[in-house]
Amino acid sequence: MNRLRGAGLLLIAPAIALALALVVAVLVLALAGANPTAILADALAYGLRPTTLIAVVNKAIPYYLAGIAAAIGFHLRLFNIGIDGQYRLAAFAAAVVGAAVAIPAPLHIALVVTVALVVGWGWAAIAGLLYVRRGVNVVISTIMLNAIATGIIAYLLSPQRLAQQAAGSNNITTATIPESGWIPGLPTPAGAVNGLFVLAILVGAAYWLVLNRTTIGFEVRAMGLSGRAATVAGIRATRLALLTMAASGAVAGLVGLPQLLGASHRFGLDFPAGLGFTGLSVAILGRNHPIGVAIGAFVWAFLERSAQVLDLAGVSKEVVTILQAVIVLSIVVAYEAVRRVRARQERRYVAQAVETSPVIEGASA
Amino acid sequence: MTAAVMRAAASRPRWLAGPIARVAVGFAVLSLLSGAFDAPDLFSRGGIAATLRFTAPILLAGLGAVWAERSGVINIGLEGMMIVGTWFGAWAGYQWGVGAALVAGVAAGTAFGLVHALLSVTFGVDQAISGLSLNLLAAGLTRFLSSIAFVGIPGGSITTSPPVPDFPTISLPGVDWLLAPVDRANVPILSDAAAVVLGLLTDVSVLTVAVVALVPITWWVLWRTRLGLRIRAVGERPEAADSLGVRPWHYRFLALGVSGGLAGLGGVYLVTVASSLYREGQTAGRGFIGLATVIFGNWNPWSVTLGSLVFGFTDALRTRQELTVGVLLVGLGVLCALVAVRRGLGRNWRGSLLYGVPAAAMLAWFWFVRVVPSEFVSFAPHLTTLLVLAFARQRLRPPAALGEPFRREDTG
Amino acid sequence: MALVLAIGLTIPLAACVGLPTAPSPAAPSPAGPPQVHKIAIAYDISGRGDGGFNDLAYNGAKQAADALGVELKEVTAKLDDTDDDRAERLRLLASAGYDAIIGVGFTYAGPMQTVAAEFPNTRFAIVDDATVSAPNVVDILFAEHEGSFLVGAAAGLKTTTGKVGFIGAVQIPLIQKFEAGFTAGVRYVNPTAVVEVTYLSQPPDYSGFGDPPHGKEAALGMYENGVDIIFAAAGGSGAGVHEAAAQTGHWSIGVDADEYKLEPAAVRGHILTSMLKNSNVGTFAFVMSAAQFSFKGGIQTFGLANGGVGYATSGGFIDDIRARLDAYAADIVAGKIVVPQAP
Repeated sequence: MNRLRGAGLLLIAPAIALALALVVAVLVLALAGANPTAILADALAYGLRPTTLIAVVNKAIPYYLAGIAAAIGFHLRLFNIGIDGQYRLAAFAAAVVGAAVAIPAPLHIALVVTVALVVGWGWAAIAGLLYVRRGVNVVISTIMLNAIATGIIAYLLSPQRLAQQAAGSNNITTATIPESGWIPGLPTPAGAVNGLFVLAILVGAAYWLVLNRTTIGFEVRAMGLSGRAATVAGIRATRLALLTMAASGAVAGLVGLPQLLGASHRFGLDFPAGLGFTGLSVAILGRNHPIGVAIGAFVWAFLERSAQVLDLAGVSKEVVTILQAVIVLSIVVAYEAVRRVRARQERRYVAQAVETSPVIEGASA
Repeated sequence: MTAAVMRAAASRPRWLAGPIARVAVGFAVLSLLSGAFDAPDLFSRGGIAATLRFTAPILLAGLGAVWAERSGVINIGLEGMMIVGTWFGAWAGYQWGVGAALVAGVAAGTAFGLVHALLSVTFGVDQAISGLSLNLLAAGLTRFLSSIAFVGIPGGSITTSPPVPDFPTISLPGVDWLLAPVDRANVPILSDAAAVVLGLLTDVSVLTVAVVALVPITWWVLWRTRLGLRIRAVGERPEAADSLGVRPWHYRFLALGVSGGLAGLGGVYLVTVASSLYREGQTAGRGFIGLATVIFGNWNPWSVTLGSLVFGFTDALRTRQELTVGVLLVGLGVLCALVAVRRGLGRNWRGSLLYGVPAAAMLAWFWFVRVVPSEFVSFAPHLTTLLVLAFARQRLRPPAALGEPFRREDTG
Repeated sequence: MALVLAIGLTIPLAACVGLPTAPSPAAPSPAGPPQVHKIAIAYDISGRGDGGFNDLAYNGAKQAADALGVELKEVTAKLDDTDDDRAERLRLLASAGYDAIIGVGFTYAGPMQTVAAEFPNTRFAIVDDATVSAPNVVDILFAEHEGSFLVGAAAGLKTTTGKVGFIGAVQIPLIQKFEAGFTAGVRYVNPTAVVEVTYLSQPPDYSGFGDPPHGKEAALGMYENGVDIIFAAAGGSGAGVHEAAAQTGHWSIGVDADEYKLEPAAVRGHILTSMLKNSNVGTFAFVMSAAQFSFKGGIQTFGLANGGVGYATSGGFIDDIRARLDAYAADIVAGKIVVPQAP
């Protein structure tokens, strides 16, 4: 197969998706009674400003982490809807522990990160255990666990227990983490990039390495492609499922850290929620590939940030949500179409090769 | 099992061991307990009526999932289909009445179901991804439509619709006259039983009755008609069905259309009976919980109903009276203890431990803590569902071709 | 400041008559053109349309905008907003020329502190928070606990079963202020009364602000348990509580606005009174002061003393105890009764 042609075909899919999204955007904006071209030009101009781009990168970091967490599960068709509960519980625990100690900087940060990893890992492992031991579908158990996590946090995030309320404020937060637990931003001329950008890159690299260069990664990919063949080869599905869920949860635990370590330094009622579902969408967009997910996270964050300008122009921000959904839908359709074209090409190629090869004596049909 | 146990089992009458007996015993235990505590009853007329209102939307989502998954297609998009059902139901309802709400909501849900079919059956997109994307689309679409249609109308805003009319309620004649005195008399167990019957048969919304009727209808269509047989065949062995001339695509489209329509009906229920307007986020994950009941219910409409009732009952309970959640906890603890004792008698030590430990935990908690904190009460239904799923006997048998897209060129 | 006081003096009159409208400015306006050309209001997640304090904040701002003849812009928030997103929102508004910007809710506290420093010539106001400290920011607080005390006293005096109920939207400190005041008021007049408390949702699930079916079910449960008066501090969910009151023939108490005026005839006959949180007064005052050269930063508390909170008397159901309630109000203002702010 012509490699270049293959790559070109693969890029067509996102191009089709973006084109379709643009058409829908124009339609929807026109329906809302606004001038599509003017608005889109405004949004683009705003979006391409250096300060905005830096903000977009910062916004994309948690999206990326959530996307990798989702992607890990997707390989084994385990839909980790519980990323939301996992990251909030992990961030809360990490905030409480981080604020309770005062140790030198690298240790402090390592401690906070470890707590987040462990809590996320543990909460997802519950769903994983229920799946392998009792056959409970992961989608269901993670949704239930999300609600339970919300209740647990609500109970503990109270001035009578683990939190505090500043005088005159209506916000309840954990105590602020001392400065030894802060991660400084990476300064650029246009603003500071969240220091956990480095963590995101490390996670992405680790994800790729484990998946492509280790035995366990091979087993996961094999199981994902053909469960039956993998089982015949001796790969145990249950052990893999448990490890995958736990790994997904561990990465999910990191999703709240950019906000916690790089920005607010405490967990409060205003901690961002809903990042888990963004992670699922971004993983779908990026086809579970570490670079693809990064691009997906960036595009997603870009759309969200540019939407702020829409508000000022009097257009509902929700146009962006529709756009995001359309992009996801059209990407998956486009990829499927590309897959079919390639499959047909392959069949044609094989058929030609068979026709033109010499007949082998004694070969059975 | 030892010979002694088998002999003992053979000598007991069959009906004593059956599910009816179990439900009766459970009911009696919980009823007695709630009478013993100085807390509101677990089973009250209003509570049972509320249970119906909470159960119906979940049941509809569950039935929708049965239709879809029996034809071999995973439908994670039920939540989105319910969301569009709520929006279009409210939008038509406040302008043209309940009839229009019904038609519009169901039509919207069906449309989304057909889109899901188009994506997953025709285009072969991964079924779960297609479903998830539809949920995303539904959320954004309804908010956007609200900003056009509801903002500026009295009572409307970007997150709410103006008030929507309700369906009429009906009662079975004579039930109230007969059983209300029994309910008020506060006789142990009997009064609670009377309350349950009263709650089920009086002041019930017409739509609730329709929803309940849909359960036997679903069963009858899928298991007693040729159409149903074909749908199920497509879900088990699509290649075989295809070779006999039964086109999988057609039946999957049909099943998904019905699936979406049922979820849309669930949405209509939410905006007319359960509440009286559209409110953003009011589906609150009910589509996913309906999906859970299907797995819990082994893809069978009757068990799906049971599963929906479990969630609906606990949700109604914790909303109306937080204190009763504590009573429920104790009741479950006692029931688990009973099962543990029975298993112990049958020398099934592992089973005994499995039920005994949670029983001890639940009873100990209540002994020391007395009351369940309100933050925990909020997830009582979710925890209950999770525990039931975890402890229920797992002889699950999903449709064989569930989740596999059917591609003709992949066969033979 | 003088303007605010002038408005404040006329409010008690307006509140007693049950009118939640802001009166016309009593002081003569100083010479010079208004300093305000564009006003913006940034809501929290639930946005406008909840019939509650978001709406009232809007009403006040709109009245001021109309009085001054300027534009009013509204922007909403998203659940996964970070502080950075909210700051950017305020920044965009300020750089687009909006001179008076109102942020509703404590989530805007940190962002406003940052952005106010970047735009010293823009006037900011934050509702329901007192932690922002800058010369160009006004922190608007309401003494919800004081108003809740009064309706609690009303409930305590009017209950025939000795059991009253409180339904809060979301279990956050802001709503707990209502609970604390209400319970204190009930106990003050009726020490043996029982107060049943329930919250419709837990943070970060804010659905409790707009879930009438849940409100209705929770209320029905309470009424069946012997409660005869329920205080619905639940935003949009209150509609469900009032429905339940009408259905069972008991009483309910509204919140933020005079709900007697908002509910249909079938329901309003069961609304004993409402706890008025006149957020329209706060926002109106802010905008007008920004426009009239009399703006001063700092914390402004609107309580019983200056008519920021009160109770409604529409329907005449509490006419017989008004004298007592007003006496309690005077005691609170004088400091003889101290109302708790947390349960």
